[in-house]
Parts: sequence; structure tokens; C-alpha cells
Amino acid sequence: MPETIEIRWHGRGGQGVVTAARLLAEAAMEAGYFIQAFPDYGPERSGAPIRAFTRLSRAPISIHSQVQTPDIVIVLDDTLLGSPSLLEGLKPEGWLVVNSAGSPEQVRRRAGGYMGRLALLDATRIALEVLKRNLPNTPLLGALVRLTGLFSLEDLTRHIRHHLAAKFGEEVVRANLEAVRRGFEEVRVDLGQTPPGERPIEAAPGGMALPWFELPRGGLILDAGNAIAYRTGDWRTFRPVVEMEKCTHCLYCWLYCPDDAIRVAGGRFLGFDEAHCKGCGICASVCPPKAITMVEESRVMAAA
Amino acid sequence: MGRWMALEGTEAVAYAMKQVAPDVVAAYPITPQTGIVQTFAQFVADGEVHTEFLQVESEHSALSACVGAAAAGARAMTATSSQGLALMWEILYIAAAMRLPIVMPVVNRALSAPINIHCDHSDSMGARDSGWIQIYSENAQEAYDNTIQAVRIAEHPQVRLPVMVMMDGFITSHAVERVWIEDEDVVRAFVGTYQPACTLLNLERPLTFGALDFYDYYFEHKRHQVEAMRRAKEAILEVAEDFARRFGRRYGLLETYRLEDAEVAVVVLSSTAGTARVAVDNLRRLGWRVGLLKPRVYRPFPDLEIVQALRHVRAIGVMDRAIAFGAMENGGPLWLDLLAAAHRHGLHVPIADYVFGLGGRDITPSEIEGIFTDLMQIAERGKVTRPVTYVGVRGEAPLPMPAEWSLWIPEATIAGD
Repeated sequence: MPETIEIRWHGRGGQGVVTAARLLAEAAMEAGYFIQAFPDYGPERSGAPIRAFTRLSRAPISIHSQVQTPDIVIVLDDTLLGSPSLLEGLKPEGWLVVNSAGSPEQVRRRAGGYMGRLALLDATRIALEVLKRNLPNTPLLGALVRLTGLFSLEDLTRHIRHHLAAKFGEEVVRANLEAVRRGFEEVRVDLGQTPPGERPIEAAPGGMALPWFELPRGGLILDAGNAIAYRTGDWRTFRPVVEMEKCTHCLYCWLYCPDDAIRVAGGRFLGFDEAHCKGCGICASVCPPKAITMVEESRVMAAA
Repeated sequence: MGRWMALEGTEAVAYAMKQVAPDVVAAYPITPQTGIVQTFAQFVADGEVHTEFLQVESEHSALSACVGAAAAGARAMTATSSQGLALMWEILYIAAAMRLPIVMPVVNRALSAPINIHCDHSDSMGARDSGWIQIYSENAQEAYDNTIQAVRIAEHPQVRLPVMVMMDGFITSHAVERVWIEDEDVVRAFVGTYQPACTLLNLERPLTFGALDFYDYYFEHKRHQVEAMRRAKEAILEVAEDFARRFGRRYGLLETYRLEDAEVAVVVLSSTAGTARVAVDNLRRLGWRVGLLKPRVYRPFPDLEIVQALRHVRAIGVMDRAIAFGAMENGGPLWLDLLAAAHRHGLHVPIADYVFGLGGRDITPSEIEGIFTDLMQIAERGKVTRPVTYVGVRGEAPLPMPAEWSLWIPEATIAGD
């Protein structure tokens, strides 16, 4: 491993991306590293893509830029695999670590034909089984320790115990340690082909780089209703699924949906606007006949 | 045809506002701006002007209401002083960044603490980087003329920035002077009908104002503001030219007095420039070659224009009615700007700062003569020995007086080199 390791985390709001970046750094600090962990906050809410960064080094860290050429890119949610900026700057000998139930071939295909080192972990399944919640960050930490050998699994478990014991009971601590252990053990490695000396993966050409003099002044937005072009449906980690035979067309879901993502015609429920439904689950919770249930998005995508 | 009127500075500005007849005025009274709001409110109550006058509960609300009105496409104005301007702080930046052409007379008053209602420039100087155009007026006539021109400058298609028009608290605001008030229809023709570039109320073309703007766009929008500030100089001169054509009174970015052949010069804003004229005349009678430069526009700062006008002098004294606490030598903002401008444009003469008149302390021609005497000594030495003088502060070394100049021998001569 090089003197400094730079990690970029990709995930969705609510998956513990920022916490994971921090936990890894803290555990590394206790193992003697200089550390840095910081988030890249947007305006997003639960389910929106977010990024975080971790730097670990044997020497003091003075840089305060975002990570440009990561040694490791970690993807907490495999629905992000198609994003063009996901692999930007990843070093040729770097690792792509993905929380996915898919095969290496599937993941490589969805990541735009990525050829480099790949590590896979079905962290969501572990989290749901052990933690009873979709918090894939903890199992992924175990996988990272295994991949990098930066410090021992004991270092990590000691830190996680210390971190969680202050806030949670023994049961939660134990479940998290179990999640870490399973991540360590269940990570699957697929080395792929990494031609030596190849340059970091280049950025996809950006689409929004208007020069200042072509922008409307004062930050005005000239096209009304452009929120429809913002596909907030991509933020979804759970999706609503309806059993039509139970639906009474009471339209409570339509009334309560904060994103106007219930399709209705002639006073009848037709379905969900998948481009904009963020999967908040309000419809499911207000539905009087309990016709709507929330299903994990990645399972739906895997099935499709 | 206009007419001469005996008006206080605030009344003159209220007349300008009545003649401009903005769609919305939202204001909160504060000494010494009160005369503006009071007089204007009377005009509204008497039906002399059909402006939507909003009596708000604070200056924060006053400017916020103006932001809303301006975004809706209205010509909006407010006025304030001192603590009122301080309370407007966050909205100042919003008005500028949203590119809303609000016009705001500011009657300069010291900031608390200690509490003080009298003139200095601490209030508007603190707002010098907020993105507003700042114009300083020497007397009631200038305050009237500048308020009218400010409307055209703010709304200029190449600019679209808010404008503050300053006058000195009490000294100008509460002094009755002879003011030439133009006919209303002529002023109204000069300012024209406001054509908003975009409005919230246009249902045919709905817009979003003030949306979230992160690191991917914010900086570009700030760059846009820079461009507006840059273009403002030309627009200010263009408006002044049209004003001179219609009304005969000529304005520029700055004004000079007996500067052409001057050896030393004083640079000062607002009413003190008038007092300094008297000092210049007094010393000229003694054969001293002294002159005056009064910046009218402070933001955008006419750096090159000022340096060009001062290029021939041997020493410059800047008179600041505010302190930039903790800045170099704890001098004033005008001095700091002038030093930077001199460096930028290769002007290598000593430039000293004279901070004066804080909290309304009077400044007299004889004190300014003292400044000129100090400048003569500086010119002779070729360097500044005391970079910042706090004029008339008890416990500070006093300035030399003109009588001492004929007897003065430079220290260098005494030392024999």
C-alpha cells in the first residue's frame, strides 16, 4: 500500500456514507495513521446520491482538496453504478468496491465495462439480516480492512465497539461487530485486468459547464417547472409496490405524496411515477387497506 | 422650470423620491434619516405621489420588502442610517446578488457603541463590499441630484445593481440649504418608466428567484456581479451626461478643486469636501499650491481616474470618516483603497491618512489647513512619518499649523544630509 491512501465513498443519503468515511478514519487513527474524513454535502435528502472522502497517511496530511485520484472507490448502492462520474480519477491499480448481490460480470457491465480490480460484498443483505436495516456501511468497513490490510480486524472492532457503546446498548454493538466480521469474511475479489502504468480513469465530459456570461444574472432560473427534469426517482432505495386487488381508490396516497408521484386519472389510482418517487414510504404508511408495501430497490433491479 | 427651495437634505431627497414616484417605498424611520421617511410619507398621505408606502417593523423588513417588490418588477426604494443599515446587513448582499435595482438614500451616522446619532461614515463604509454602488453627496443639492440619477444607474441594462446615495447625517440631512428642485414631469421623463428585465408577476413567463446555487454555479454568478460593477462606471458617466444635458448640473466619478497645479492634495468624501474648499482657498491666498479631490462614486472605486488626477502632486492626504479596525495601521477605508490604487497604477508619492470627525466631531477649515501643512512637510521629506493621524483626538500629537510652515526646517536638513 502507498504512503497515502485516498478513498472516495459513493452512496445515498441515509446509508451511512459520511459515518463510514469517518469510522474508517477514526479506526485508522487508532492504528497510528494521520487521517482526514469529510463529506461533500449537497441539498439532497434521504436517498439522494452523496459522496464522502477518507485520506489515511503515514505522514501528516496538509491537502484540503477533494480526492481527485482515489486509490479506492466504494459504492454503497449499486444503483449508482451507471453514474458517469463514479470511476473518475480511479488509479489503474486502484480498487472498485461495490455493495452488490450481482456477479462480477454484471457489476463490470453496469459500471461501464470497468476492467480493474473489483471487490464485491452483498452488504445490504448482511445489514438487513444482522442489523435489520439497510445500513451497508458497517459490513463494507470489514471488507475494506480485508482488502487493504491497513490495520487488523481487531483494531476495527475495538473502535466500533468504543464508538457505538456510548450511544447504543450491547445488542446493537454486537450486531454491528457481527456485520463487520461478515463483511471481512464474505468479500469477493475479482482482480480483472490492470495494464501497469495506465493513467487514472478520465472524467466523463461534463454537460453543464456554461461560462459565467451565458448564465442568467442573479441566479435566476428562467425555465419554469424544471424540477420535473430532476429525476428524483434515482434517489430511491425502496420502492412502493401495490396490490391492486386491495386498492379502494380512496386516493389517500395521492393526497399525501410529497412529490406528486401518484398517477391518477378519472379519480382512480393508476400507479407510481417512478421517475420522481423517492421511495419515502408515506403512501404505504397512510394507505387504509394496506395495499402498498415498500420493497428494496436493488432487489427489484436485480430481478429486472 | 424648476424652483429654488429652502430644504433640509432629507427633504430634498424626499422631493427626489416623490418626483421619481417609485412603485414601492418600504422604510423604517431612524435618526437622522427620519426626515426622508416623514416627508415622503406626508407626500403619500396628501396624495401627491401614488406610491405603495409600507411602514415596516424594522430595517431588515424594509429592505426585504424592497427585494420582494423589486423581484416583482416594481421600482422600489428605502432609506436608512447607521444601526438601520447594520440591521439590513444580510439583505444588502441578497439585493445586490439578485441584481435588484433598489435605490437607498443612506444618511451617514456613527454606529453604536457608544450610542451616537451624529455623522461619520462607519455605517456605509462597512457595506462597501456588499455589491451596492455607493455615491457620496456633498450637500443637499447633490443628494437630490444623486438620488434621481441613482434610479437610472441602478436600472441601467448593463448594470442592474442596487445603489446607495449617501449624505452626511445632521451636517447635510438637517441643514437647510438652497436647493434647485426640478419640475416633476421633467424628472419623471428623465428617469422614465421602469422596464423590469424579469418579474415574478409575469404569469406568461414564470421564473425562479433566489434558488440554491452551490459550488458549481455560485462563483459564476459572483463573476457576473463583478462585470456589472465594472460596467457601472461607464453607466454612471452616461447617466451624468444625460443629467447635465437636461438639468445643466454636471457630475463625474470624482470632482477636483484647484488641483491642476497643486503640490499637495487632500482626498475627502461628502460635506467635508466643501469645508476643505475653504481651507484650499485660505492657503492659496498665502501662495500655497494646494488642491482637493472629492470622489463622488466610491463603489465602483474610480482607482485609475483618481490616480490620474493626482499624478502630479508630491504628497496626498486622505481624510477618512471611518476606521477600518485592524487593517493596516488602523487607517480608514478610503486611504487603504487609495494606497492600493497608487500601487496598482504606479503612483509613487507619500500618502497619509487623516481620520477625522467620528461620532459627528466637527471638522473646521483650520484643522484641514493643519492637514495641508503636515502634507507640505511630508512632500518636503518625501516620506510619511505618521501614516495615520486621528485628527483632533485628545492625547494625540496635534497637527502643525500653517504659521509654522515658514519656520519649518526638515529634520534631514538639521541632521546635515
